[in-house]
Amino acid sequence: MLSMEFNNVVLPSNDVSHIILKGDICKKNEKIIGPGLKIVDNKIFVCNSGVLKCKDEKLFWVEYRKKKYSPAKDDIVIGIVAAKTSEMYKVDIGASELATLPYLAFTNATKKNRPDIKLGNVIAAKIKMATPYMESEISCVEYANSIILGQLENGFLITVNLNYALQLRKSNSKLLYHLGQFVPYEIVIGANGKIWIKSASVRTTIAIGNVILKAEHLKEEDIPLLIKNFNKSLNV
Amino acid sequence: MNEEFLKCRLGFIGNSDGSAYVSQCKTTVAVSVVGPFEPKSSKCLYDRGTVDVTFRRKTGSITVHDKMLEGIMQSTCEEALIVEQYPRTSIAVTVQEMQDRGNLLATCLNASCLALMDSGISMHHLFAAISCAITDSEEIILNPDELQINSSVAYFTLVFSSSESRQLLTSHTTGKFSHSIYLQCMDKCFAATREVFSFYENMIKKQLIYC
Repeated sequence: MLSMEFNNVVLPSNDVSHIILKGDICKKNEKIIGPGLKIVDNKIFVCNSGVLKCKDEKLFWVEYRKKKYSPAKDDIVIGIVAAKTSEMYKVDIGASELATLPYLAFTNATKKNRPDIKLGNVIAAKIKMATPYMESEISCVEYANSIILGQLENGFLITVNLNYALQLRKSNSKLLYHLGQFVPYEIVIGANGKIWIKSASVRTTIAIGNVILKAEHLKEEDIPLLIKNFNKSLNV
Repeated sequence: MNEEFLKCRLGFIGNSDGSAYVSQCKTTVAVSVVGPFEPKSSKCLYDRGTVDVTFRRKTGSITVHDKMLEGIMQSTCEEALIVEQYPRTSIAVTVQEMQDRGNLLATCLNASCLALMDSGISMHHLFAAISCAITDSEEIILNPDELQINSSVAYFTLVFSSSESRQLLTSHTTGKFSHSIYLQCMDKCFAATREVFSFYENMIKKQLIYC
C-alpha cells in the first residue's frame, strides 16, 4: 500500500483524514478541502488520482490532470459565440454545455444599445453563476480595476491542457515574460484552457502560438533555448 | 503473474478527454473517454450523469454476447464514478478490441478504469478485474490463456474495488462450480488485484512526472 503524505500520489478511495486532521478533530473547522477531496461520514476521501497538496496546513487539494473544464464562479474564460436568441447569446466555453450571456451583460449596454457580436466571434468573460444543475451564466461587465472583458478581435485562438493554462496564468510565468522581450503581443489566457493571442503580424502570432504549445512539456531550464530558436525563426 | 502481465499507455488519443491503450498478456484493447457532455434530452437524467459504454469489434458488427459485455462494463463504471457530481450529462466510454486471446472482459474493464482515471472524472474508488479458470481437478488458474479457458470446467471474471474493505463489484461466471471453489477464487483474485492497483499507481506517477 502507498504511504500517504503530502506531495505523494493518491488514488480514489484513499482515506486521507488522518494526515489532514492529524487526529485533531476539534480543529476541523480550520481546515479547507478543495478539488479532488470529499467528505463521507466524517472521513476525507480522495476522488481523483493525482498528487495531494497542502498550503499553510490549512488548504488541501489534489492536483490532477484534466481536459474538460467545469465552470467555477469568478473564473475568466474565453468562449466562442455558438448561438443567438432574442434575449441572450449562447457561448461555447468548453464545458459540458453552452453558457448563457445576456445582451445586457456588457459594459454600457442598454435595451436600445445592443452589443454587436456575431456567431463565431471570440469573447472574454467572467463566470457569474456556476452550478451543475443549470446552464452557467457569464458576463462581460467591467468594474473598476477589473481586466478588460468583451469581444476579442483579430487574434488567434489555441486550446491547451487546463493545468498548463493555470500554470501560464501564474504571474511568475517566465515564458510569457521572455517572449515579450522579443515581440510585443497581447495575450488572454482563459481558465478553460483557451488562449487568445494577438500581435503585429500573422506570422509572429502563429509563431507565439507554436512556442506556447511546444513549451507545455519542457522544463524551466529548456525554455531559453526554445525562445532563442523562436527569435531565429522570426528573423528569417 | 510477471511484470510483463500489464502494459499501458495513457492519453494516446489527442481529441478525447481520456484514453488508455492496455495490453494484458496477449489481449489488447484501446479505450477512449469523452465527457461529461450534454446528451440528447431523452437520455438526460436530472439528478445524475449517465455512462454510455460502446464496445467495438476488430471487424464486423457486435453480437448479443458483446452487448452483454457492454452492460457489465456500464454498470461497473457507473458504480465507480461519482455520477451525482455530473447531473444532466453523459460520459461516453468507447472500447475498441485490438486483439483477443482470452480474458477480454477483464482487459476491457481494467482499460476503462485507466481511461477514466486519465480523464480526471471524480471516482468513488478504482476497480480491477481478474479472470480465473477452474480445471477438471479443481485447480485454480489466474489469468488463463486461450487453451486453458477452452479446457476449463468453469471460468470467472471478478471485479473488486480499491476500497479498504473487500468489495466485489461484478462477478461474471460460466460453467459449473461448487460454492467453496467460488469462495477460494474470490480470495485468490482479491489478492491478485493488489498488483493491478499498484500498477495503476505507477501509471499515474509516470503520467505526472511527464507533465
